[in-house]
Amino acid sequence: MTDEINNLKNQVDNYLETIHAIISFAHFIRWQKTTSGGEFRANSLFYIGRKMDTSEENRISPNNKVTPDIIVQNDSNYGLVAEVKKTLPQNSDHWNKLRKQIIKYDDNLKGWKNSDGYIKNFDITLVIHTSLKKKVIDYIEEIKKSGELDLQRKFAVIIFYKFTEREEKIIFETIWGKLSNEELDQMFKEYTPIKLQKVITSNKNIKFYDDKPPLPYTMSILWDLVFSNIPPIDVYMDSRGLKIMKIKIDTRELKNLVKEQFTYSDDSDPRLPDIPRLKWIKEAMDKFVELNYASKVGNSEYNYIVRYRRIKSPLDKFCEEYIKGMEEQRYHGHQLTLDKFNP
Amino acid sequence: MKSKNSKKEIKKEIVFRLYNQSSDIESLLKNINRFLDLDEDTKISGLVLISKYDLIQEFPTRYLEKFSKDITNLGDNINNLHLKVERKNKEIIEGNCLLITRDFLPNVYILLTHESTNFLNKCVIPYFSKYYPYISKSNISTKNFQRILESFESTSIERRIRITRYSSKSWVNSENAKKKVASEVKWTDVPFRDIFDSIYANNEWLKSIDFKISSENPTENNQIFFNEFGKYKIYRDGRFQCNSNFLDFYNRVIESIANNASKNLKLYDFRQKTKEDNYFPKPILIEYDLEIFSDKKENLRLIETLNKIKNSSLSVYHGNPYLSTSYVDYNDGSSYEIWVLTNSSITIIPQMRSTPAALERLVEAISTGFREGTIMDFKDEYD
Repeated sequence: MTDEINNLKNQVDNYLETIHAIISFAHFIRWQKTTSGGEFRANSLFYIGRKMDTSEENRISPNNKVTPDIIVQNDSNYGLVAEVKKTLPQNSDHWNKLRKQIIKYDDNLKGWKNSDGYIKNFDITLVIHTSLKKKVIDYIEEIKKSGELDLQRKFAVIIFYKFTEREEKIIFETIWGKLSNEELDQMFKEYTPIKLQKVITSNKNIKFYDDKPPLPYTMSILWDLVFSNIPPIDVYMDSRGLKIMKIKIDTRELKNLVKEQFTYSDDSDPRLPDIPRLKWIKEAMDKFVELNYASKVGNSEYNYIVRYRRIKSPLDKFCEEYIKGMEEQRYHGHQLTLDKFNP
Repeated sequence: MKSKNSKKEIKKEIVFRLYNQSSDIESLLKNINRFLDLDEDTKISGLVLISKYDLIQEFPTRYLEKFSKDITNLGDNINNLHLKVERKNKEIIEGNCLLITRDFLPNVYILLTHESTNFLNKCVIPYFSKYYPYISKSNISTKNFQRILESFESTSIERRIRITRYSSKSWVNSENAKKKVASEVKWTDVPFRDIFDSIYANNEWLKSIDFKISSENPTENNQIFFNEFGKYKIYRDGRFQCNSNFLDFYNRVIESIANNASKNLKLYDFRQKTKEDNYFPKPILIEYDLEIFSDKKENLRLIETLNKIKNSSLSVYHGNPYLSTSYVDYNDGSSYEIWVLTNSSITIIPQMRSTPAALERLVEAISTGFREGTIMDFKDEYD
């Protein structure tokens, strides 16, 4: 069971590492040094998972929507569309989906923050973890040679990795292709580490992006950073860390709270994806019910009562209980199979 | 017998004046000095509290079955506070204290009492702890201990402060040690700077100090002027004791502790993320003067320290080489992200709720359980 728990915690770690990569990438492009330290370039914008419209000329998906992992709009004339991958399936036969994604972005996409929704020029980047470097380059070379990756826009493959010196840094480096913006192209070709501390403290605290996180991760974010804030201080003073505090939850309101506090999503902008999904929140709440940390209110689909109390190490606890639950399911499933053959 | 009775009467009268006629700081200090002049066993104890409530006009409402309090205004910024507690063993402890405010230090309250240590420890402190986090104490770092003593000594060229006892903590470097932090109490009689040199050299940090004042070149005249029997004590949590020379002690020590408390409150307040700020972080940094995290075992040691904080929880998302955790204080629901992203600092990012008391509690736990560093607003870090 320990291996499975560690595996699950690695998945949590990978999810967070991808978020760090996404935020750091945008930070790297938008940050400019000033005499007072630095600031984000005026008029630069950054979105995680923005819905863009494809044109009727799109070779893969005409008149449809695409949702790149990152959209960075450097200014009104230039932007970057990026797909970020920390891991990829082992079998490169599954990478055809990735190839098609890149080609989909090679289009006059609409949805930029300009008056008409278009931008003069943008480049496409595939941002991958350095561990994927060789496999991805071999694949890109192969599909480029075969004509399966024939792009009109500039395309670059950029690796990222963390580096610990005296400070934790994240490095982005172009390993294939180039960008049309010379300044950015040069930045990505030079070895320019970004201090993770600078990224974490200069940007909003993002906990979710446009991909489903491991369930124990969602549960620990809710338990530690959302539920903790709900009971009034007086209730904590009375409970003295020992009593259970009952919290009423409506998953729709909870979802909006998480969205507001831990994502860049904004209800006023319909192009921004609905992160987190209501079903992620609901799944977490149902798991809390299963593990006796909460109960449903009558037949309501959305309402729960959480029995909030101190858990010493919430992430570890939820990972253990999640794995335990899966093992029990496997055991019961096995038993059912046996029973079928041994009536 | 008559002399004993009259001494008792005099004391009674002085105490009465202290708690009923100290209408301003000047008369307060006079009344205290009269009290301390009675004999060498008399002392004044106290502590400094911080609260965003106006404790005089609007004391926070809480029903405390076993406690009762009564506040009477004596004059500008001075109030008599009578407290009473019925303990579990039915013992009743009650007494008077003075609650002093300073216009230039809003939210800081200086509490003084002539009553016994028993009253302070079993009535006053438990009473105010019931109001945590609305009312809390504020801590004094080792460097601030030194600044306070420097300031006290500087009131006179001939004055020298000598430490008579101190309590400190330090790391245990041995891998075989079960306890990673050792406590030590030393009795001594040395100039205070020697103690601090030793403390810094041995990577210790102070819990409390007892000290006295003496003259460097005692002469007949100086022996009359300086009270060599003066006993003073300062605790890390802002408590203090004094048995003579109260004017200087008040101006240099108590006011310094109060200033320190005010600075801490300003540093730790308003750091929670808010909708108005678009939930942007307002971090603080604990900076060390050496690259303590170059040895990644220190990440584990920090995790151990955080795990030991009472009434809290810790989720560790990444442990090595960098540290990423989320921490919740179940005393009031304050939550924080705690990161180690450089070899010489800890970054604390308050989340949706962060009371100044909870943030100070977290910083103090790290300071006394892991290592003391310099606490600063993240924006002050040079990038």
